Amino acid sequence: MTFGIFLQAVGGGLANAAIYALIAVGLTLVFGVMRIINFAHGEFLMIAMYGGYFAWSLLGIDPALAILLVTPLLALTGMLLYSTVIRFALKVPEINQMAVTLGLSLLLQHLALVFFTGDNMLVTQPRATAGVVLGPVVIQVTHLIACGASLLLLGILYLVLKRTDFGLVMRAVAQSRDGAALSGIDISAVYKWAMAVGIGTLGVTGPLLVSILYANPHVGALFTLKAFVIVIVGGLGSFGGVLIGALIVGLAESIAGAWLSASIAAAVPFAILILVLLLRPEGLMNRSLAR
Amino acid sequence: MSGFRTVLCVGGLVVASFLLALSDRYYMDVFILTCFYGTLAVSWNLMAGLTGLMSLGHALFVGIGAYSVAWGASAQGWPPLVTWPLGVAIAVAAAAIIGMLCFRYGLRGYFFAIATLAFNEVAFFSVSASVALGRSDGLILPTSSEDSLLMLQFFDKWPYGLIIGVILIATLAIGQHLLTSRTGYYWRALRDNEEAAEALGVNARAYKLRCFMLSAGISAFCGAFYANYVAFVDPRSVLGIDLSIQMLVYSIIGGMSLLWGPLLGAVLLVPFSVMLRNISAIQGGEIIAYAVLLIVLALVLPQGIAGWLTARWRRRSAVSRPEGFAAPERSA
Repeated sequence: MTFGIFLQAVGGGLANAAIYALIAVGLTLVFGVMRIINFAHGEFLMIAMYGGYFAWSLLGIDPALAILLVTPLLALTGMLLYSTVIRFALKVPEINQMAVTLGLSLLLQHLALVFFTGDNMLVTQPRATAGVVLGPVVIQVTHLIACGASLLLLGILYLVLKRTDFGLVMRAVAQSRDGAALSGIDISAVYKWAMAVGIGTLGVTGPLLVSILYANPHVGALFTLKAFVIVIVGGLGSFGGVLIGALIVGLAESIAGAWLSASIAAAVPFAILILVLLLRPEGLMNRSLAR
Repeated sequence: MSGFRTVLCVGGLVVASFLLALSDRYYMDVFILTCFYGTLAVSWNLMAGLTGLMSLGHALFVGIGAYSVAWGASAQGWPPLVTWPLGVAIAVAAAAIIGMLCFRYGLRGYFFAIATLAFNEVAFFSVSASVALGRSDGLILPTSSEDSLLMLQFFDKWPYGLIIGVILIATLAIGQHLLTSRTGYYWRALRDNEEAAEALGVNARAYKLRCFMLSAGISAFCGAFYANYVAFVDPRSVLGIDLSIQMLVYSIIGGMSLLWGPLLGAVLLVPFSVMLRNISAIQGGEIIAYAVLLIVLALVLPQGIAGWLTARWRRRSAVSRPEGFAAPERSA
C-alpha cells in the first residue's frame, strides 16, 4: 500500500466516521435514556433512505432538501413506535425486549421487500461523480455533503443536550429515572421525545446516504451492527464516546479495506468490538450521557 | 407431572410423528427440519432460559460443526465418524474460549449478546474470505451414486429423520437430567440472581461456562447433521445471524422457562413457515407473519405458549384437588 492510497483510505474513513457517528448517536440516546437497545435502528435508516430515494425519483426533490421532509416523518414514526410498541416493551424482561426489537427489524425488512422489492436503488445525480481534490486525496462531493451535515447535526444535538431545558430533562432521566419522576418530570413524554430524536436523526442521514450507497431492504442490518460496535466501543450512552467509536471504526475499516480484502474489512469492526469488550467493557469513554 | 415423564411424552410424540412422516418424503423433510430447529432452539434455551445467558451468536457453533464436516469430507475425504466429533470438539473449545473471555469481565445481558454476535460476525466474514472454506460460494460435499452408511449418504430421507430424532430426544434427556441435578439448580439460581447465588457459594463463572460449552456442543452436532443432510454449506445458511435469531424466535414463542418450550415453538412455526412458503405469493410472507407473532407474544405472553399452557394446567389441577396439600410439582 503506497502512502497516497493510505491517505485516501484515511480521508474516506474520516468521511464515513462522521456519517456513522450520526447513525450511532440515535442508538445511544435511546439506550442512555430508556435502557433499551433498538435492534431495528438500522431498519429506520433503511426507511429514511427509501424516503430520500422516492422523494427524488417520484417528486424530483434533491436528497439534500428531502431531509426537511423525511426527518419530521421519521421523528413522528419514532413517537408512534414508542406509543404502540416500545412503551409496552419496557415492562417485560430484557430478553423479551430484545425479541421485540429483533422482530420489528425482521418485520420492517420483509415489509420493505414486499413494498419496495429487493432491487438496489441509488440516487444518481451529476454531483455524485464529482470529487473534491485535497492534495493526494479525492473525496466525492456527496460524501462531503453527508459528512458536513452529520457534523453540523452532531454539534446541534450536543448543544441541545447540554444547554437547553429539553436536554436537561433528557439527561436527568438518563441519570436517574425515579429521581427525575420525583422531580415532576413526565417520564413517558421524555421517552417519547427520546425516540423521536433518536429515530429522527436518521431522517437526515438516510436521504444523504442514498446518494452514496444503494438502498435495499437489508441495508439497515449492516448499519445496526456497526452502530452497536461504535456505541459499545465508545461507551454505551456516551456522546463523546460515539465520536471516538465512529472515528476508530471508520478509519480501521477503511484502512483494512485498502490494505487487505473487503471481507476482512467487514470483520474488522467486530474484532475491535471484541477487543474493547474484553479489555475495557465499559467502553473507551465511560462518561455517560447523564453527566 | 415429573420431568422425566414429560421427556417420555415428548419423546413418544417425536417417535409417533416420525412414524407418520415415513409415509411421504415431503412430510419427512418437514419432520427433519422441525427436529433440527427444535434441537437448536432447545440447546440455545439451555443457556438463555435456564441460565439467563442470551447468545446472539449461536450460529457460530452450528457453522463450526457444519464446516468441519464439509471441509473434512470435501478436502480430506474424512468420514462423519471422524468429522462429527472433531466439529463438536472445536465448537466446545471455541465456546470455552469465548466464555472465559466474556465471563471474566462479567459481560451480561445485552453486552454478552452483542459480544457473541461479534464473534459470530468475525467468523462469518473470515469464512467468506477463506479460499480453503469455499469463500461465500460455500462447500459442496462429495456424493457417490451409492448409499453409504459410513459417509452418512442415503437416497431416502428416513435415515436422516432417524438420526435427528435421536439427537433431539438425547438433547431433551440430557437437559432434563442436568436440570434435576445440582448443576441445573445452580443454573437457575444464576439466572434468577447472580449476586445472591455467588454469595451462597456458586461458582458463577464455572457453571456458566459449563452451560455455554454444552449448548455449543449440541449446536455443533446439529450443524454437522445439517452438512450431511443438505450436502452443501455456505456462510449464509450456517453462520448467518438469521439462524441465531430463529433459535431466539422459537424459544420466545414456545416458552423459555421450560425445557421443551422452544421445541413447541419450532413445532408450531417450522411446518407453518414451510406451508406458507408454498402457498403464499408474497415473498417473505412467512417471515412477516412470524415477526408479528414474535412481537405480540413477547409483549403479551412473556412466558411463551408452553409457559401459559402449564400455568393454566396447574391452576386447573390445583382447583380439582381441594385438599390443597399436594402442591403441584415444579416441572423443569
